[in-house]
Amino acid sequence: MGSDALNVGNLDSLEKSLGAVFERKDLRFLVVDDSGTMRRIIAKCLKDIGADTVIEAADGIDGLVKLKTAGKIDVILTDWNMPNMNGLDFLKKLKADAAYKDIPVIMVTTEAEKSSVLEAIKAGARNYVAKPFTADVLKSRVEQTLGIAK
Amino acid sequence: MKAIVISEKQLLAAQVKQVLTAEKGWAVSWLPNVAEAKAAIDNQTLVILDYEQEPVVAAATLKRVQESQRFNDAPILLVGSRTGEPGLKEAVAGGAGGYVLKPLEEAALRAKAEELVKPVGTKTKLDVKLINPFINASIEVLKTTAQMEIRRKEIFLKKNYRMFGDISGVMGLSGQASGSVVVSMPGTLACVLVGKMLGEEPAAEVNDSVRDGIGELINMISGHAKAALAGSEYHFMLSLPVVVTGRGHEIAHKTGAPCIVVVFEAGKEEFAIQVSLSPE
Repeated sequence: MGSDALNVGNLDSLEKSLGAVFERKDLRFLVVDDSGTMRRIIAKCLKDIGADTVIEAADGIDGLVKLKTAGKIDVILTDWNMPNMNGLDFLKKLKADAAYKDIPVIMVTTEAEKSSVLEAIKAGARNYVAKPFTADVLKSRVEQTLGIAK
Repeated sequence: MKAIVISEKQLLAAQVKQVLTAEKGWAVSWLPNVAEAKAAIDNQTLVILDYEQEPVVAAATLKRVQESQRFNDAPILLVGSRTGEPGLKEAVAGGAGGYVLKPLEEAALRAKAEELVKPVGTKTKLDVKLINPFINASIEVLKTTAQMEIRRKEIFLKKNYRMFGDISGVMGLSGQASGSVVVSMPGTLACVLVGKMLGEEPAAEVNDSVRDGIGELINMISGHAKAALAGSEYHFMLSLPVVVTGRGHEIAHKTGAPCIVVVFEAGKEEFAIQVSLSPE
């Protein structure tokens, strides 16, 4: 009886430690895209992988404004072609700011040419998703990025 | 080339026939009842509509003809009276191709008919190297984002600037090659498509969300094609998408390049992409 109780306790402990690895709590994202449709599609994918909070912004300037009050952000996903401030300029602003430079950024964009990918990576993007994408591709890139970010 | 005259008056049809068939290559038929327009105007090169009616009736008749047309649109030439000229101008603003006045003058009718059936753009090259990336992009984007299998139905050079659909997403292209690409479809299909993109029930009518979704759709189609055309003479830069709504709306392609139309079947509905792009 005593031995059984001990085993159950061990399983609970193991489950808790595995949970800490695979189910990160309070995941917070910022999604920057001028298309509300695309922001909703991305937000749905993020909720599927356990996002606690998804903050939306319509362009780079809006993204910088939202960041000021967003609190902790685990990953930023940004489009490239947007009005007012495009995704590449937004990325450069983030990397030049000590408060945000360590937040991993994923470019989610129709700019899928090799030269564009290299330009974004050079500017500090951690990952890249070409539109159109499947939910599985987006989720795997986000998970990959979160793994790198840990 | 085939023209159909829609008028209760057989005399008008006979006059048009006499003028146009004097020129080589025209075959002219007559349709007395607009209710039968849907089947009759299919595959016509030009629709000639008698607009000398009560203004409300004339506008309703034009609307009926426009609704009978598919993406393979024949331009509509109106025939009206001088007293009805304000209504004729209004109809042209609403999507008719042009008008001539009664009594019919041979030269004016012939010139207007020929002007309307001439493909837009100064060049007439249909380059498969250019159009194939847009066809592949459309198929891929709809499959990936909306799980919709579409089938290419027909390709042709566009004769006028009107869009046959209720909503169009327009992307301006610039750089090494410049022009525009447009996706145009009925509102019902747009609602279904955007609903599928979002994994939701389709909207009852075209709303801000549907408009936004169609903007994103043309963005993705253009971007996908852009990557495929990298390194070619048609490589371009994307602008920001614009969405236009309203039946018979007009979008001019200003570069002088031909406008290639590709019609796709999506379930029971159809939509079209229009590509007008020329190297600088």
